[in-house]
Amino acid sequence: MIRDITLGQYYNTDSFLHRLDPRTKIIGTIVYLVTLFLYMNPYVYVFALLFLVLMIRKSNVPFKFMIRGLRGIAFIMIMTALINIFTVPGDTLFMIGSFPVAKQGVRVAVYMIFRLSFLIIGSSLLTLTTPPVRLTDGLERTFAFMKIFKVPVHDMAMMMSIALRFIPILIEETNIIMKAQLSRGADFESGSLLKRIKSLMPVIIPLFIGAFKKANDLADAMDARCYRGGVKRSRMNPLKYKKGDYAAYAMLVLYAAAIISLGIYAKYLPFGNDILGIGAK
Amino acid sequence: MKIIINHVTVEYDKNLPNYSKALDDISLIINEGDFLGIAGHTGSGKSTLIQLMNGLIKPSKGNVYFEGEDIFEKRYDRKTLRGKVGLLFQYPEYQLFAETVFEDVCFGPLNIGFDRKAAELSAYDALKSVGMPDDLFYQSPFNMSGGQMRRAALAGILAMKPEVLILDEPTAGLDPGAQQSILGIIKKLHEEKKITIVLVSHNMDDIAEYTDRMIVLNKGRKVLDGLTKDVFMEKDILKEAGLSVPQVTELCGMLNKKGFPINQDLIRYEDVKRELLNILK
Repeated sequence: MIRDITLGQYYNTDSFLHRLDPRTKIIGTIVYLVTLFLYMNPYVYVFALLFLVLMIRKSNVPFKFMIRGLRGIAFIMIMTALINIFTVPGDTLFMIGSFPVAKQGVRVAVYMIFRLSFLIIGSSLLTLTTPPVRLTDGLERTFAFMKIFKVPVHDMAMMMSIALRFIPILIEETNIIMKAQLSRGADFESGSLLKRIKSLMPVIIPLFIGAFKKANDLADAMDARCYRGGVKRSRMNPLKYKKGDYAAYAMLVLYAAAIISLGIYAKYLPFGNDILGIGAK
Repeated sequence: MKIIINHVTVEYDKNLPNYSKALDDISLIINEGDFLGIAGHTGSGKSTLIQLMNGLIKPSKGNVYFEGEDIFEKRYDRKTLRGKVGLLFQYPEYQLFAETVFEDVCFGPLNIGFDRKAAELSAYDALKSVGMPDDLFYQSPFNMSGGQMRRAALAGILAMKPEVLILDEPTAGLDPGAQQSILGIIKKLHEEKKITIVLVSHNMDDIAEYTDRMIVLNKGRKVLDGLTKDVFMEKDILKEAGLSVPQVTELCGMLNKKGFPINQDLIRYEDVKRELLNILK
């Protein structure tokens, strides 16, 4: 259940992706996510999938480990799909009870499921291959230009890295507290929805108290080291682009170009308009 | 024979980078009235072994029996089992959640089917037996000292009237006074209420002082099992498992090396003291 959330975890191994500069990976992830939202046609999605599979192979993270991340959000995906199926208007395909199901709805639902899956796997690749500290450095440098708009980039990057750092700890803690309450006869699995929510209180309360306590300790520890935010801080390991990064950027440009041309010219290919033959709106 | 663990192997997720067997072909019999110690280095499988005993972790291979019944059989009532085999987790104060200590202690018995009155009586008894002062009964558990919180958590398990009580490092993180008082309570429960005790610890002095029988785990395997005083004579195996002998036994050994004629097979503080006084008389 909660263990299945792989988003935000780091997988310690060595690979092409692990060695890349975090900035390269952040920009790569952003480009990838954007391309997912540009077009809705099968060619673009197949190409995006191929690219994703290639990246997973290049990351040395077991495929099973990535898929596991999807199980955690299966509920959200199913809900999104259902909402789309029932709410998007169009040519009626069939009826479920008195609800008409439109071709367009099914189409959007199918794309949504793929889009969400690629989105989750794509962004977990970033965190799985980048240790939190490097990730923060990368974020801070990538978005440093926003400082001219008075955006507190350093503070935001710091907050994010703390949040990422705490995800595995809180998951571990939830597991332990759940087990401790189970051994006191708690039951999280039976009864009505309301009863189940209520049965989670003995887990949530200690979890929150622990989290606040940790936050306090962390603040004290930072204060004791005279942490003052990003003002005039130097870096122990400054970020530097290497050969692999330039290769990665070249690949990224090619990928984006391929997606855009596929998106524009797909309509001349068989089924390019759509699987269900409705055509993109 | 209260609990039988028969050739049990436990494997966690094989997809993780640092995969290994948590328990490897372990067999163990716990008899009624035992005061059993489980010793082992961090990561030796102690916690896994005790979670197996009250059905929180499923074995990959092998069976666990409680009073002759397989606890992982489909129809087996594990909730009742958790009442009979009470498990106090490490740092149990983090599982407290209710508004008052008394309410928190009632949580377990109410879960396993005590009616309100029986649960309250049992909670009262349990709080008395851990020496909780009356005026703290209706206080918030979060305003108490670490030692008091630990007592409250112990009472929460005792209120379910367990026949077997498993304690995972019950003294970790407490000051010496509180440590002795918790161990004193446990000893009293064993002697007066005839509760079978399983004490997990990596403090060899505590194990020597309180247990009659002990097992030693190393890398998921059981390497020693026998009377506590016999196990502590196996210095080489203990060393290999990353453990030592009790301090007083170490002292006897050192004295002997220097030519002081003292018995080397003593493990308890009082025994060594008596022996020393006898010789020096």
